Amino acid sequence: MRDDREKWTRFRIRFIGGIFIVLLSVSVARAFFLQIYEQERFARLAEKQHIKVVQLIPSRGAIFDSTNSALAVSIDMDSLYAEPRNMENVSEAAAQLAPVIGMTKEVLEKKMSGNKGFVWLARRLTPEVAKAVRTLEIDGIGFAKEPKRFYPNAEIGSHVVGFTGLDPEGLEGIERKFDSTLLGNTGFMVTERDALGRDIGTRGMMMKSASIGQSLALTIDKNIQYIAEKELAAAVESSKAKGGIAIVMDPQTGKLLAMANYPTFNPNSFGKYPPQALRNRAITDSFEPGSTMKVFLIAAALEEKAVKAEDAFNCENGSYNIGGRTIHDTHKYGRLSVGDILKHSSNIGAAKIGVRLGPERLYGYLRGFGFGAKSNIDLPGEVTGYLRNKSQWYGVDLATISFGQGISISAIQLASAMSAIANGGNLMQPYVVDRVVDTKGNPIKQFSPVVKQKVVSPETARIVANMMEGVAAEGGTGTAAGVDGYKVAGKTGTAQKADPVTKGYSQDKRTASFVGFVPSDHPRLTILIVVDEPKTSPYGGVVAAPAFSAIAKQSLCYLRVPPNQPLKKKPGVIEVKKALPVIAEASESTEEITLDSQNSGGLVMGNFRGMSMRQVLQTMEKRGMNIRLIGSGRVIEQSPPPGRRITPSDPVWVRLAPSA
Amino acid sequence: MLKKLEGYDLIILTMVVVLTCFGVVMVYSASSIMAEKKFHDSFFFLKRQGLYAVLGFIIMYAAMRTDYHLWSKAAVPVLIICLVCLVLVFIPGVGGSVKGATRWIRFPGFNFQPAELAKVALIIFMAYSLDRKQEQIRWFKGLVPYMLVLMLMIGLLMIQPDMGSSMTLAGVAMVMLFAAGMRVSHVISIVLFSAPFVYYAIRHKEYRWRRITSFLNPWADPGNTGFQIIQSWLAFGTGGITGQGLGEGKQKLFYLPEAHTDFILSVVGEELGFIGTVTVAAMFFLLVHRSIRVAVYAEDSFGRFLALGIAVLIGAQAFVNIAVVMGLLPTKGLALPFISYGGSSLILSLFSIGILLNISSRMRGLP
Repeated sequence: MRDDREKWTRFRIRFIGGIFIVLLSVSVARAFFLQIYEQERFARLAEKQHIKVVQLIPSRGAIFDSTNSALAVSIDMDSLYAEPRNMENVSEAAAQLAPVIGMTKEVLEKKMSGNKGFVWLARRLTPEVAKAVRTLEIDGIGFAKEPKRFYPNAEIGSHVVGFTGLDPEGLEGIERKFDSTLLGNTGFMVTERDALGRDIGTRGMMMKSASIGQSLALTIDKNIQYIAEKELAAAVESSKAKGGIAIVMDPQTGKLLAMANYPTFNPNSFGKYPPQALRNRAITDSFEPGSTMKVFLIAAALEEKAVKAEDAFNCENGSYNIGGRTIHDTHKYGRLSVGDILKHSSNIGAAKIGVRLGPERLYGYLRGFGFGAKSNIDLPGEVTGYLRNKSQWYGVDLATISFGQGISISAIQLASAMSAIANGGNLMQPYVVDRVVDTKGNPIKQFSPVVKQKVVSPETARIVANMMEGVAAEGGTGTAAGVDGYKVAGKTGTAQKADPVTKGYSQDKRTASFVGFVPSDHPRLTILIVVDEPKTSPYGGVVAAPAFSAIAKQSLCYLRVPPNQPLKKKPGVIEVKKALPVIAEASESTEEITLDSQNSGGLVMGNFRGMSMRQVLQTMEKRGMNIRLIGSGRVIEQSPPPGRRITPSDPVWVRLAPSA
Repeated sequence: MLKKLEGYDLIILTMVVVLTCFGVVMVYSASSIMAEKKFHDSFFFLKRQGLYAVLGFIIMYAAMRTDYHLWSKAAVPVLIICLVCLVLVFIPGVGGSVKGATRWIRFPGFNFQPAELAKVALIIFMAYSLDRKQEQIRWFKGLVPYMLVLMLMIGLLMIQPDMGSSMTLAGVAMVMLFAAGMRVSHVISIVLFSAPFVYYAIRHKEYRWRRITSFLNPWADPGNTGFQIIQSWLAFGTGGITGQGLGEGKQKLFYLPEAHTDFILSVVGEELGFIGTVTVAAMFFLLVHRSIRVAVYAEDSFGRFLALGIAVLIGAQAFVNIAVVMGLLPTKGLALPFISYGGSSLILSLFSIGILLNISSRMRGLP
C-alpha cells in the first residue's frame, strides 16, 4: 500500500517534470519567433523610435614623445546631424545645405527622408564649413563634437606611432598596441522625445559625454627621431637602395630613442600609401645579419674561455674548405688575432672560432642575446626571426652561422643584443612607451627598464667593445662610422639576400648594415643602420657606416654628451646650438644645395624640409637661385625633390606651413 | 573544499552559481546608467546585488550542510513567523510601500519582502504536513487545512496587493497537492470555484484589467498600456541571433521600465541575442530537471515534497517570467529567479536551493 502510493507519487512528480519540457519548448519557439523570424521587423521599429540614442565617439588620448611634444592628438571636430522629424521643409534645407557642405541636394534629401528622428549628414567638418552651416540657421539640424586624429609631426616617428582608422580604432603601431588605453569611454546623447507618443521626459536628460582616454609618453625623442630619419633617408637615397631601417637605443635601459624606416609615410593620409610602406620593418621583417653576428660569436667564445683575446687564427689566405664547402674572405689574410678577425671581418677566422666554441654553446649564447625569440617590445606585429635549433645544424651550418649566414633576425633583436655588449652584458627589454598619463599629464603607470637576462660578464663585454673600436678605427671595415671627439665601437655587416627563386643567395641583392655604440667607454647610444639592397656599393662600411656617424654626431651633440677624445677639427656650428632647434639647423648645415662638379656643372637640389623661410632664402641666395615661396612657417613640401639635378632656369618652389 | 561537495548534485549547484553570477553582471548592465542618473553611482545596484549574492551563497552553503529534517520541526514556527511578517507590512513605520504596493518591512539599510519568505514557508509547511497525512488528500476533508492556510496567505498578499506572488503560491500548492494524490476532479472543482474570485480581483482593479487587454492587443495603445511589452519585443528583436554585445543594449536606457528587475531577460535578449535567451531558458530547465530528479529519488516523502515544491517554485517563476517578457502571459510583476535584482528573492531562492542540495545528498533508489 505504502509502496504503491510512493510509486504513484513518483509518477505524478515525473509528469510535472515533463510539463517543463513543454515550457522550455514554448520559450525557445517564442524566442526564435521574436529574435530570428520577426527580428527585422522589431529591430526596424526600435530604430524608428523617436528617441534616438546616438553614440559619441570617445576622444583618444594623446601620444607624446619624451620631450612632451605631441606625436598624435585628437581634435574635436563638428559633425553635422539632422532631425528630419523636426524640420519643416526638408527639401529647402537640403538645397541650402548642399553647396555649403559640398554634397548634392539629392543625396542630402535622401538622407533626410523617411521621417527619421536622427541622421548624420556630414562628419568632422572643418571649422570654416561648420561656421558657414551655423550662419544658415536651419531648424532641425545640429552639431555634435567628434574627435579626429591628427599627427602634428607628420612623418616623424610615424612607424612607431602608427595610425587609427576612421573609427577611432588603432590600426598600426602604438595606436594599435595601446588601443584600449588610448580609447576613452563611449558616450551617447538623446536627440528627441519618445516614440510611441509617450512623453517620458527624457529629452536632454540622459546624456553622457564621451570621456577621453589616457595618454602615453614615449621614450622616443622627436629630435633624435628626426635626425635618424633624415640620415637614414640620405643613406638610402645616396646608395640608391630599396629601403632602410635605423634604430637609436639607450643601451643602459633598453629605451628606444628613435626607430626609423625608409620610405616613410604621413599618418595623416596613410591611405595614400601602399601597405608595405606602412610596415614598421624594424620589427616586422627579418634579414640575414651577416658579419654583425661575429660580435656575439666572439663575446660568447671569450666568455666561455674557448678563445683568449690574444689567440691568433690562420685565416688561410682567403679560402678555406670546411664541411664540404669553401668559404671566402673579401681580402686575403694570414694569421689574425681575435680582435683583428673582428676588425677585418674575416669569415674564415669567425668559422674557426665557431668550431672552437661548438654548436651547443654558440646556440645557447645566440639565444641568450635574444635571437630566435621575440624581443616582446611593446609594438605590434613582431617577428621571431629564424634560428634553427642546434639539433638541426648540419655540416657547414656551425661555420656559416658564426659569420651570420643561415640565421635571420629582426633589427630590434640586433639593436638589443648590441646594447647588451654596450652596457656590460645585460640583455635589456626594449620598449617605447615610458609611461601612461592622465589628461592632466599626471603619470598613471610608469614603465621601468627590465633586465631580461645577463648574457656575458662586464669584463668580456669590455674586451669585445675594445675590439669593436678597431672596426671604426683606421684600417677597419667601418672607418666611416667614426665620430670626431668620441670613441666608436661598431661592426659592419654585408649579407647576400636569399633569392626566393633559386633558393640560393642572390648575387646582387644585399643587406648592408652597421651597428655599434658610442661613446664606447660610456655608451649613451646604440645605433643600428640597415640598408636594403643598396646599388652603389654592397658594403655596410660604405653604405651604412656614414649614417651611423651622422646620427651619432648630431644626437650626441643634442644630448650634450661632451667629447672625451682629442678633436681632429674645430667644432662645427651645430655643436654649439641649443637642443630644440637642432632639427632645422641640422638640415641647414648638412643638407645644402651642393655643387656637383663632376657632372655638367649643375646644381643638386637639397632637402629643405623643416627649414624656415629665412634659411631657405639664405641658402638659395648663396647659390644664385630663384625660388618661389608658398605660404609661411617651415617648409613642408618642395619641388624638385631632394637630390634632383637642377639648372638656374628650372622652376623651384617650396611650400611652407606654420609649425605645430 | 571540493571534498565537501561530494555527494551533492553538482549540476544544480553549478547552474545556480552561474545563473546568480550572470545575474549580477546583467543587473549592472541593465541598471548602471539609470543608477548613475538617480544615485550618481553607476555601481549602486551592482554593489547591492553582489552583496546579496555573497550573503545568499553563505546561506545556501549553510542550508546545504544542514540536515533537511530540521525544517520538518521548524515548519509550523516558520509559518507563524511568516504570517506575522505579512501582517507587519501594514503597520505604519514598519512597512514600506513603493508605487502603491505595501510589500516591504523596513530594516535599517535594507528592506525585506515577506512574500518571498511566504513562498518558502508554505512549501516547508506543506511538505511537513503531506509527509504525515498524505492518504487523507484523497478526500475533500483532508484538503481543507491546506486551503485555509493558502487562503490566509493569499488574503494577506492581496491586501498589499501582490497578485503575482498570490498566483505563484496557489500554483505551487496545487502542484504539490496533485503530486501527493489529490483527485483530478478536486483540482478542477477548486480551479472552477476560485475562477470568479480571480476574475473579480482583475476586473475590479483598473490596472489589472488593462494588463489583460493590453496583453491581448498591445498595439491598441502602444504608447501607454502596451508600451512595456512592445518595448520588450523590440529589445528581443534588436538582439537578433547574437545580440548587440554585453552592455550595448539601448532599450534599457529609456524603454524598459523594470530593466533590472522583472524585464531583465529583455536586456539579456537584446545584448546577448537568441543564443543568450535560449541559454538562460535551457539552464533553468536543466536546474528544474535535476531538482525533479532529486524529488523522485529523495529518501523519504518529506524530502520528496520539499524538493518538488522548491523545483516547481523556481521553475514556475522562471518560465512564467520568460513567458511574460516575451508577451505570452499578461504582466504580473514576477522576478526571474537568481537573475533579477532583489535581495529577498535572491537570498530566499538560494536558501531553498541549499535545502534541495541537502536532500540531493541523501537520495536512494537511484537507477
